[in-house]
Amino acid sequence: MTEPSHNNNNNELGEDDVRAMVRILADTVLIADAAVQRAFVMSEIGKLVGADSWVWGVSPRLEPGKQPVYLFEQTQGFDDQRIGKFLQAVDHPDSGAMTAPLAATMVRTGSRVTRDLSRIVSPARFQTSPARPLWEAAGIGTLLISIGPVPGVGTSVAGFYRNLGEADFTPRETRIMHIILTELPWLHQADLPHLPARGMVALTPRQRQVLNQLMQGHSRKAIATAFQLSENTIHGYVKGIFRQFGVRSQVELIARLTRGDGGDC
Amino acid sequence: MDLSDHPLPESDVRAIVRLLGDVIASRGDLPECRRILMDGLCRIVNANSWAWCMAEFDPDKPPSFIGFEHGGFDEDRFARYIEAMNHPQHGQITHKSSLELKEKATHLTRTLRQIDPRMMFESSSFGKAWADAGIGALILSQKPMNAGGVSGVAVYRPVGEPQFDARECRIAHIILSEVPWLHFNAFPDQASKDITGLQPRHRTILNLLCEGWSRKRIATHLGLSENTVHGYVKEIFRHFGVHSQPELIARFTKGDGGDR
Repeated sequence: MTEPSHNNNNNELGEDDVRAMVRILADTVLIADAAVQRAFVMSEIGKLVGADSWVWGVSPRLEPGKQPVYLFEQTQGFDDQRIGKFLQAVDHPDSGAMTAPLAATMVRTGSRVTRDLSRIVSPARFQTSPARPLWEAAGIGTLLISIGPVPGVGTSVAGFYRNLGEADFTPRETRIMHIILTELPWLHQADLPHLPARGMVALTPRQRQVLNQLMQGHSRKAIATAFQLSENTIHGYVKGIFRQFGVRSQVELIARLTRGDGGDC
Repeated sequence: MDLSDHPLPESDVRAIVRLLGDVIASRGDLPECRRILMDGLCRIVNANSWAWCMAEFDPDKPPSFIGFEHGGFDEDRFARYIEAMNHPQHGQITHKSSLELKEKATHLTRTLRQIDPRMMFESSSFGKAWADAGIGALILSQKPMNAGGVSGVAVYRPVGEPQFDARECRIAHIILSEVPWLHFNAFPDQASKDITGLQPRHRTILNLLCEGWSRKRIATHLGLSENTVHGYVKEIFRHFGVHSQPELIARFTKGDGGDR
């Protein structure tokens, strides 16, 4: 079952939208690899709704009352510096508090929820949030979040972002996203680290941020710079992360978390 | 067909996205993807069969078709369908619509009523041939190909069912016009030009040979002697410069063999 649609006149899709969606999916047929297909769909639909950047991942823990945990597998439009800032913004306790109603709705209905910023929190609430400066530092003005349960394995998470000073995503744009993410079940299953990501829950918040940086392929030095910490400190976090997943290198870690290679976690 | 002012119902948008998602998830080759997409389109617009083929693009010549892929037909009905497609009156009745396609040189989607506004179809032996093939209503989408020739895809309803409505035509047009590979094949365009030199009877037999039918079966189906069919087949082979049925099929499906 799907979330009841909030039908009104300005979120109905016109023929141009439908044609654009069909074109993107028709092109996706010609791509062989599932992860590349997902990146292509995200990137093209992102363009269609006017997003500047997006992230895609899984959440081993997304429930009201607990700080959400995310593992971002694919991202676009973030450089080294910005992804670090973004991860800090996402992990701020108030970001978790603001998105809690979203998670609650997903848990209650058992179906995908897709919302733009104005339907997640009131503008006043967001303006005064202690997390707000972190979002600003990440260059993110507004967003569109879609979370959906993947039966038996976990939660699939997609975020689309616009730069500071840009307008909120419209109900029409949110609708396009919601339909694409709801009606393509394979998008949420193929090659996603739903099960290995469960090991993340045992990590500290800082370790999770470092893990997400490692997943992006960033060096310890780059991570240290992004978080304004010493390389030694980062080295300590990395050791803890490696121990948790039973791996000896970053390459092994990425393989474990993207393809589920090696031992269970 | 101008309906762009009216939004498509969300349930239709979802059905279209889901269908394309199924095609993507199938990871099939091109004919497989085409089959899944067209079978699914038939379900959405409530049609019972579909066919795709390449056609010669010249309003002044009898239309000729080759390279069929199809769904929802059993073998006998498809043989009757090929006869209807190769009926001598086909060119006359669709002449006006072929001219329009040539002038506009763009992708067009039309219903039977738009192709045949004077309703010559119903009262003609051409119309009877279609009824014999179990076809009442249809939506035809034709796309002129860069290399020459026209790619045509159609969905059909059985005789006695209502015409396709505006919503159904629109869904069909969106899918048929926005999925470019639907019209791709290794089909050689030169071959489509070559088959206009054949008589309608030869073309019917050519199409059945390409379906893999034996001469004996073709003879039984068309009510001819095997000898007569053998004579036609020899002429067809000579026309295309091939020596066997597999060679003929390869010529039309893979573009193998000599250029003409």
